[in-house]
Amino acid sequence: MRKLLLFLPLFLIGCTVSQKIVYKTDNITAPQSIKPIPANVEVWVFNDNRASLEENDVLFKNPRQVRLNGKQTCINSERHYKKDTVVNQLSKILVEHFNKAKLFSMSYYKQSPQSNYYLIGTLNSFYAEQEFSTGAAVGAQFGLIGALATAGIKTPGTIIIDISDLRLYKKDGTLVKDFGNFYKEYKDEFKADAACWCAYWNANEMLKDFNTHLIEKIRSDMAGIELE
Amino acid sequence: MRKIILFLLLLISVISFAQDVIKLRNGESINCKITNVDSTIVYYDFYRAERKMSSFVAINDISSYSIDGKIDGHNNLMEESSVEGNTVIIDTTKYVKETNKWINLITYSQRFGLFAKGWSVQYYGYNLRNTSKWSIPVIFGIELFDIDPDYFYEFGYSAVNMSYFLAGISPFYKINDVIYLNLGLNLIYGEEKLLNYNGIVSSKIFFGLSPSQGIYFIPKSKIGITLGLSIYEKLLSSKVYNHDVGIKLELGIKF
Repeated sequence: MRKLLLFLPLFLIGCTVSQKIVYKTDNITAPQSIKPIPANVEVWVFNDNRASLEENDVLFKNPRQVRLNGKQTCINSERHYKKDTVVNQLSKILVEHFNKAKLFSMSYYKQSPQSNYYLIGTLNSFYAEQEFSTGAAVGAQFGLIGALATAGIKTPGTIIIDISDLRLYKKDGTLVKDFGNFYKEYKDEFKADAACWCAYWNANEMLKDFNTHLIEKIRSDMAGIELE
Repeated sequence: MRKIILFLLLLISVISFAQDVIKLRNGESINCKITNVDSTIVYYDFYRAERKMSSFVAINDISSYSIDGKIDGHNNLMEESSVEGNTVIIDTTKYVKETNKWINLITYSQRFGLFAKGWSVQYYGYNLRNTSKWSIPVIFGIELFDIDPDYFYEFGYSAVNMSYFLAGISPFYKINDVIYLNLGLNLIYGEEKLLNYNGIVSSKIFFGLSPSQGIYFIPKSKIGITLGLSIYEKLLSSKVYNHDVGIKLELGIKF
């Protein structure tokens, strides 16, 4: 009986499904007319400021399906990002995106002896909420046919991504460029599912769009800056 | 005093900063400073709770944008745009936004077949997408019918009890906003218990096919009355009811 009690918590922990912050980068290409910025850049893990902002409270205190403003809502609850931190995953995918888009000569996740610059930033929001889909829930009860019939269902939602104090430094600590704060609020209809994982998937899709435009901003802001 | 001056300076800088306006297709406006416009995206800076932020918006979400000062070549960036004063107006007619709505129908239908008459109650649930003519509903229901005695007695049995499942597809094809064609094809699998005149009961598994073709009125409103008229056919391996053709009249609610 004692053994059973010891195993039970382990079993429950094992049941928590982890969600990753990833997206397809195969289709990201660098514009041929643009040369990479001549810098080998470490992307440091961003500071995570989300917990100190009230608007993010809902993610930290609730499961992925929650009643918000009187409606059943799917959110990208923090509970399913436990395997690796949000900022670790976000910085990793940003490095992958930078390299695919050939923003810098080379970008590295965390420290690298080959680098001569580093990039820092703060994550203020990685927030996704969308209405729960009753249709998707009904469809899920009918196996494959139900899934096919409800595959295209979308529900209204909001995704907010906010990165601040994005700065590029030389390795000796000299500031090269302060890119400031980059923010996007996506208000749209997003794909829905019966289990509320959609909030995580849609947040990842919008992050891809966000990072694409962040890269354009960095390119634009770095135009005319001579690097040694 | 110094704090007040600093606050006033900040306020003036915020007010003087927000010179450009982006009007979105959803009716919202963004007071901002447009920093760059390309063929698909408008980049801009704005203030939010005294923080200066950079952001962007897709051209296809914009109805127009006004720039304080000269509009340098912005009208050339998109063929679909035109310039009125310092405002660039986007022709949004080519952008059709995809919308999805989950539709529920509960209907009662009366069936009039050549060899059997009955009724059924069905639930249809489907996703209505504005960019697609087809919708594939999830359907479940219950059906009861009486076989015409003159037809039934030809087979030499005194009574039958049939129960069966239907599985298949029954997509709706949108003709216009309220009229839909329905083309169904279902496979039938069931069991019949037959009682002959000697009082002996026998069981038999049967299979079948049931196509149907119908026309439906489904209102655009969120809640409303729906009507349907269909022709159905049945081909079965049953010993007492092996084919039928009939008309189905359907009345129900959409919600």
